[in-house]
Amino acid sequence: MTIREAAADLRAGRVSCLELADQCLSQIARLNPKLNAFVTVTGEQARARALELDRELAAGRDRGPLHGIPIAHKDLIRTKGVRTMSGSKLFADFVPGSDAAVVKKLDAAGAVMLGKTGLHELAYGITSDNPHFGTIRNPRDAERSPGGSSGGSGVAVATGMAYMATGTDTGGSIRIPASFCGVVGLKPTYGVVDLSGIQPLGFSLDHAGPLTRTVADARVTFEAMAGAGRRRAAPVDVRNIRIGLPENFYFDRASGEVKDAVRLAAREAERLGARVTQVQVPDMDGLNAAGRVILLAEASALYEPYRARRGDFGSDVLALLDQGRLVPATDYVNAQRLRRTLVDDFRALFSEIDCLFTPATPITAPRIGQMQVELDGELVDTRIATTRLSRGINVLGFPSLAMPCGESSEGLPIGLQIVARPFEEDLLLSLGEALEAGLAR
Amino acid sequence: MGDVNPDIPREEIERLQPVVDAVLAELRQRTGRLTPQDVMSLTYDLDPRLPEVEADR
Repeated sequence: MTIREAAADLRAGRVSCLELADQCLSQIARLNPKLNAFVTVTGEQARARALELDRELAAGRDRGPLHGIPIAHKDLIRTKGVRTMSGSKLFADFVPGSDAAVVKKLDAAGAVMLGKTGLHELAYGITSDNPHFGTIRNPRDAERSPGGSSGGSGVAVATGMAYMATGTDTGGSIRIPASFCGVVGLKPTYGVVDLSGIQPLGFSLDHAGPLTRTVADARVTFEAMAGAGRRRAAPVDVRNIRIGLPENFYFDRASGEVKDAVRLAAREAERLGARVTQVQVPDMDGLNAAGRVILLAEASALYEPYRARRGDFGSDVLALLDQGRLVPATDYVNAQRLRRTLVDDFRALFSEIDCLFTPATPITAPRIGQMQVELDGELVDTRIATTRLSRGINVLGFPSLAMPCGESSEGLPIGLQIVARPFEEDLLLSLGEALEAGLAR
Repeated sequence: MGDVNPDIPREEIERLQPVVDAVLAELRQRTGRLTPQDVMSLTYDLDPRLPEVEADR
C-alpha cells in the first residue's frame, strides 16, 4: 500500500493509525531478523503516538497526508531520546537531546516514527555491509547488497516495514539503494532540506531526502521535509518537457539491460508528449574527480578528532579517512574552484533541456562482498562503478530523482535517474509520476 | 609524509598514496587550466532563493 492509499483508508475509517503502525511493526518482526534494515525499533512509542493521532482525527484535527503514516529515520538523523549511532562505534551510545529539523517537520506533519534504519558506517560507502551492526540484505535476493549508504531505508520501504524512510545522499546514498531495492529516492537541490541535526559527511555535498514506494509519496514527504521555506511543489505539465539523453559518459560503462531499460523509459516519456534529444554532457570525469577530492578532504577533516581511534573504524572507512589526509589543501581548494566552472557548464546545457535521463546505477545490485564488477569487458571497482553516475550530481547540487524503470533477467530492479535544474523538484516529481504508470505496465 | 600523518602506518600510506595520486592527477589535468577569475564559492549559492531556505531553519 502507498501513503496515498493508506491516507484514503484512514479518512474513510477503513483502518486506524494504530493498525497501520501495527501492520508495519509485524512486518519488521517478521523480516528484520533476516534483512537487518532496522537497528532500533521504537514499537511502544510508535503505538502510543499512533493512538494519539487516532484521537486527533476523531476530534477533527487532520494534519494532512502524512497523518498517522508509519515512517523510519536513517540512523544518522538525530532523534530525541532515541539512540543515534550513525552506523559507527564512535557513536554507539549517543542519545540526542533534540530532534533533527527533518524529524521535527515530519512529526509535525503527523508521521509516526517506527525506529531507526541501518546504514553504511558513517554513511561513507555504498554497500551497507556494516562491521559493527551487521550486513543489511537486499529483499529481492538476500545474498545481494541493498546499496547504501541508506541501505536500511531502502529495504524498509521496499518490504513494507515502513511507508517512507529518510535518507541522506553525499555521492548517491539515496539513489543507489533506491535503484538496487526498486523504490523511489529523491535527492533534492542542495540546501533545500535542512541538515541541522544530521551527522555530516561532506559538508558541501550532503543532502537529505525521502525514499518511498511511489513518486507521489515522494512528493508528499518531500514537501513535509522541505517545509515552509521552500515554495510549494505544484504539478507540472509533462507535455513538451525537453529531455536530454546523454550520448557520452552515462551509457559508456553500464550493463546492457540497464541501458535498454533507461532508453525504454525515455520512449515512454516521448509517448507522454515529452521531447527527447541526444545531448553531450560536460566533463563528467572532471566532476567526479572534483567530487572525490572534496569528499575525501571534508570527511577526513570532520573525523580528525577521532584519528587516534583507528580500531573503532571499519577497514574500508579507515582507508578513505587516511586517503583524505593525503590530499593537499591546494587540491581541495582547486576542486571547489573547478566545481564552480562545471556548474556553469551544466547550467548552459540545461538552457537547452529541462532534464536529463540517465541510469541511476550502471549495474543492478551486486553480491555482498563483491569487490569488482565487469563492465564492457573491463573489471572495475564496485564502489567506484556504483557511484560513477550519481556522485557528480552532488557536486552540482542539482535535484535528482531515482525511480524503478524495469527489471533485469535475474529479477533485480533497474533504476532511472532524472536530473533537473536547481529548485525544479516539481518537474522531476510530475514527470516521475506520469512515467510511473506507464513503466509499471 | 609519515611525519605529517604520524598515526597512519607507513605501509598504509604506501598502499593508499597511489590511489590518491590517481584521483589528484585526474583533477589536476583540469585545475591547471583555471584562471584567477575562477574563484571558489564559499556560500555555494546555487540560486538567490537559498537565503529563504536559511530563514526557515
